[in-house]
Amino acid sequence: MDTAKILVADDDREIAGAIEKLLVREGYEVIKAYNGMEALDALVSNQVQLIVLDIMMPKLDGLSTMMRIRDSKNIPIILLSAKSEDSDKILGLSMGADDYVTKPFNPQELVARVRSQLRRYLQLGDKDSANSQSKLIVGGLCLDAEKAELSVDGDPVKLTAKEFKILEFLMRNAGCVFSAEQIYERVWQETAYSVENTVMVHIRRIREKIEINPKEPKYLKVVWGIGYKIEKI
Amino acid sequence: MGEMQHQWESERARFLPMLLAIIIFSVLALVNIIYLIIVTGRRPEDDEVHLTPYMDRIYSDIQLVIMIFTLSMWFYGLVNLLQQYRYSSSRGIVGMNEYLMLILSGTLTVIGSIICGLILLSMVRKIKAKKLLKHSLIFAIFHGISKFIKSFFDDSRFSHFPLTKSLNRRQIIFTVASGSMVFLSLVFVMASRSFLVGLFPVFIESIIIFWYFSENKRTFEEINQGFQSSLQEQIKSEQMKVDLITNVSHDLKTPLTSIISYVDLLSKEELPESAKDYVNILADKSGRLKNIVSDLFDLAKSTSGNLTLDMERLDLRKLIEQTLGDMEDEIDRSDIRIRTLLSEVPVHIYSDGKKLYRVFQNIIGNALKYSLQGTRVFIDMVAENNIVSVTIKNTASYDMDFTAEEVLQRFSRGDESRTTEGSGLGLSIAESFTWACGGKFKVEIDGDQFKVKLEFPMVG
Repeated sequence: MDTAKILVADDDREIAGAIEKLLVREGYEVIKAYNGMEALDALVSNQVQLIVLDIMMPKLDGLSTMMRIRDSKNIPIILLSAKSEDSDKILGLSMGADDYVTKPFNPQELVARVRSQLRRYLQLGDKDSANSQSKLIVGGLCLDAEKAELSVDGDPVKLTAKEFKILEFLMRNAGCVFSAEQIYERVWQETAYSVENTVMVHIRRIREKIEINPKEPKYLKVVWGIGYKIEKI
Repeated sequence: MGEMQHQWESERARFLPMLLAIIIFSVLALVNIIYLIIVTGRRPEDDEVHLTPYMDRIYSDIQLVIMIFTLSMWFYGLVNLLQQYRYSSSRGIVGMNEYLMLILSGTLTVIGSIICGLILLSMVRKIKAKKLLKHSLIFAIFHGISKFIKSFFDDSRFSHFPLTKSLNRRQIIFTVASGSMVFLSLVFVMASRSFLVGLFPVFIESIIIFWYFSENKRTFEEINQGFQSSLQEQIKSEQMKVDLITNVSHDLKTPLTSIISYVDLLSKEELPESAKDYVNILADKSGRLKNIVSDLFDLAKSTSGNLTLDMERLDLRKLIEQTLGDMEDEIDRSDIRIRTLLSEVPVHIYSDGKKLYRVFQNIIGNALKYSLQGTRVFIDMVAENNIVSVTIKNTASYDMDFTAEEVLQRFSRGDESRTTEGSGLGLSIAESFTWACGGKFKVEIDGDQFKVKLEFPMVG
């Protein structure tokens, strides 16, 4: 496999430069653009595998740029923005972004997200399309119930038996919210009595294993005061 | 003659000591009354006049009436008794015993003088306090009436609002003019016995009504315009505030992103040992700055009322348990234990779960950070009358020389010298978020006890 080529578009030259250096250090090839138009031009002349796109840019903003890219390309796009509202994230993701990172970001987290998106994009096709009968797939999560294996963006992750059962149950019903009692009764097969803490602690452990940033989970979410769910992606 | 002389002598012998006693006791009583008049209402500790509760609340004129009534009853009773005694003794009827008469008249006098004495002293106190006349029923009634009439004509309340002032004046003129027109038309009809003459005031009245309505319409329009423009002004300034927050937020976050990224790049370089230490400090502090900036904007958004809320029906008990489960590592690492007393059944409220999680996370995090080692944090939950209140109590590890108000002020931190993490905004954010989520937030400080109390209305 060639080194992946990444387009970084940010109107702040220092930030674009920093991201470039961070990614080059990880062995990726980086092209920079300082506004939306430049980013579109760069895409014409280069074979790019991933785009890191700032939202607030002159000439053509990130969201419009993304919509134009999506007309022809299906490559992963990570949005960068100083806007940290949930509504901004939801808007970005619903318009076709694969991930959303808020400024100021943790450099290691950005690198991890780039790596995860690339792995999924490049490995898609040869693996997942096969025997998907016993496999549950949600975004980058791939759970094989028969082999009791879980991989996150292609990387195998070790879970305990209980953690695996919880994740399997939630992934089978992705998008649905379950209370701690419901999860406990399915997984432990016992009557649930004040189990909130037990379940919550397991959820947290799973989150630490499968999420890039457990504090801002992408897959396994707590619906505060109600229950838990796996986001349907 | 001798017998008369003898009778007179014996009567004299009987009555002289009595007379003497009466004089002595009267003088004593007078001295007593004068003494009481002088001292009443005074207290040894100050020079103020103190009114006695209950007694002095009775209006002066009512007191006077009671006193006069009591005095006349006393006088009437004494005269009656004396007459009966005379009557029975002159007839030689053994009816009214001399001692019985003395006891009855004595009792009457005692009751009368107690009532009159109390009232007299109360009035004296009122005179001393210069309230005797003011504190009377007649005065109160007249005062109330005059206040009512004054308030009718008084437009000082509208002194800052010229439009409502003119409305008020017009209303008075209209009412008075209309009233006099009705009176005039009655007089006219009575005097001339002609219905047509009576129509004249009606004609004037209709002009008055026309004037009243057209002028009022103009004023109402002006009021509407003023209201409209102030509303627009408010929307504009609100929008400016939101823009300011967004722009400042962007302007702060952009350079901070560069700083954090380059510090990270720098930390991966080959550096001398001392430079590595410096880079670590830079990384640490820029990370903290990131937290402060993010907290600051959360708070700014929340206090300016621009927080986007995602309200839903949720179980507060569950939310607290989830928060505790989420923070378990932090709790285990600390030397502090958590004791919970939560409701047995679900307690449903209508709120934003994610924001409430931040609220409890901040409060419990604070409790862990600032508690005395080895103590407990108590989380109690009480659901009563459709209100659920949650109290988080901890024992501070330091002298809390601040008030509950001060601790909520932005950037106030319990112990400035010891903490290096956190933005100092945690409690302010918790407070602001709680109010935004439809709850109440209160901090109490009692000695070393630090107590946060949250209240939410319950839903079915």
